Amino acid sequence: MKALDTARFQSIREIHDAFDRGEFLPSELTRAYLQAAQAGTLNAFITFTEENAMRAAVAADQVLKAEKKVPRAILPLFGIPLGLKDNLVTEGVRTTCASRMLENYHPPYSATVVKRLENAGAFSLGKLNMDEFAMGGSNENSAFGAVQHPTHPDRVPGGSSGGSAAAVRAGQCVASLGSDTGGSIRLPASYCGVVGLKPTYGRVSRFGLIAFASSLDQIGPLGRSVEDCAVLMDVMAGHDPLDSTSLMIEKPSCVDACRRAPDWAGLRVGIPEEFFSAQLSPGVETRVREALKWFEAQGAKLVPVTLPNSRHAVAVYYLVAVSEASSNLARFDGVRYGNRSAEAAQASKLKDFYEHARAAFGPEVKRRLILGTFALSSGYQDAYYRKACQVRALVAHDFERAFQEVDLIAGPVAPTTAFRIGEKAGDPLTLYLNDLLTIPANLAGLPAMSVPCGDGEDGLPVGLQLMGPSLSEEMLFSVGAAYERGRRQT
Amino acid sequence: MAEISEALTRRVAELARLRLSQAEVTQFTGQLQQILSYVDQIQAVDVTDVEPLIYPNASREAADSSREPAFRADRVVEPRNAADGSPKVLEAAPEIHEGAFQVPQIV
Repeated sequence: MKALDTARFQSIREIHDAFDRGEFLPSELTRAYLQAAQAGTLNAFITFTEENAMRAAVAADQVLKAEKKVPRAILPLFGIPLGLKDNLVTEGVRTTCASRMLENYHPPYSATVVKRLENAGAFSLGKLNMDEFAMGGSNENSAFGAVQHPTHPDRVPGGSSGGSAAAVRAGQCVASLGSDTGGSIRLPASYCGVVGLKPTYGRVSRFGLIAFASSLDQIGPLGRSVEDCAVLMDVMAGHDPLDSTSLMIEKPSCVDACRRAPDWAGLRVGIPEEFFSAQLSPGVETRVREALKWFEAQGAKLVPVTLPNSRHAVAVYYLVAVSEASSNLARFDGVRYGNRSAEAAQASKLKDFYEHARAAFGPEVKRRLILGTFALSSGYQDAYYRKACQVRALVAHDFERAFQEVDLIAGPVAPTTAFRIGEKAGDPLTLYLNDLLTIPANLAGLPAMSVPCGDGEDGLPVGLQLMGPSLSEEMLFSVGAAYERGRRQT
Repeated sequence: MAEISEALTRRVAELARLRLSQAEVTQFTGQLQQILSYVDQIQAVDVTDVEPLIYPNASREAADSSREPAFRADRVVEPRNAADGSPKVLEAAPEIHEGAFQVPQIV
């Protein structure tokens, strides 16, 4: 049999139809993805779990042979090989967070989302590269090396879920999980030309996500189609008693929403002037405006809105996120797990012990921990952390006001397409400013999706960002899927 | 605005239990100064009577006064080794001794 070309599959549904027709077995598909991933030069994976994956795939073969058809209703992810960002803990499988701190960490349990995906028939090919502790927007801050852009090897794939986006685009896994604290799903999805969703804060359990900034972090899917992300969302969403921030609300039906056309005539799409500033590259602006024209052509009403406080979003974020990180990462002390260097093992003072153990953090993590510790330190806390939380409330109020006038807000994900590896290295502030269009949704806890809307003048993908009110995932999926269908037809 | 000196960088790094080389101190001091001068824009924002937003769903949960707190059964679900019944959490430890985490003697 000829080797399967994994890059040809555009959706889970297409794969399931091929299983039904007996074109190939789950184990053949999985072997093909493993080969593509292991032969790949993108550095998208940190750890492969080929034995676990093949064992699960062979078990799926038996089910398919017996049932003759994919048991979609009970196993919506039957036989689907996925990739997991390496900040999601996996029982017995090394979980590094792309840090030397956790280089040999084998967690004793799995994240709730991982268990839910497995219970729906999926399995993981391995753990995906990322910025260390999810701190970065280019995937250059990994202790395991930078990830390359899947079509332009001299470019970054975006971060921090860079491996998650690059692997999906390159056909190294069908879909993947990422996490989004300030844009870490949407930015790489946009740069790599795949779909990514940051769900509403509280929609998806974070039990087993290694925490970066707890009031912002949210796990979400990346896929080759809007519907693939919907399939993953329907499986992952819902209350988890092990995560006290997960909302006690009904699960959404995102797949159904994808198949339902939006009520175009009643749809009001907000266009925030702040998202179309001079910093936008002409290619990005052209593609995004074309997408907005398409919405208008379907009958939607474009409404100018204003989010005046979003101009402070980056400043607020880099105080709030680092403050929370400085607290969350205090747990890495070399006592119960993680790095304990030879020097730490020889230490005779507790402070020396901690400092030697924590020497395993990379430079960006150290920078943010110092900034966060500063923002929370006596004498500065009110001026920095507390003030940032007040301005954060104003950013959220802007959205509340806008969503009284419109159903969703649309704009670009990022001001430019993927930049060159090394181009912004050594200048943290410039890199931070790249997140200015994704951070507002995190600060307000809102759902936001990145959908490919064509290539810029440089041939690199551009992402359209759709943001909705709290818990409006179904609406985003309906509009996103309709847009994707419309674009594929033209 | 706060002036970031090398001494302040050192002091904050110490609070964070990070030991920096002199090169790192120099580099971080400049970068922190640059980042702080950017984030200082929030000082000019009028936040009179604005409640800080600490957690995105706080207002939703406060509004839902009918909601009972979520309780789960007080049940130990500690993962254990199939072979000897020992807690799996110890396997990730840098050093263990007789079923406990071991650390160097520091007093």
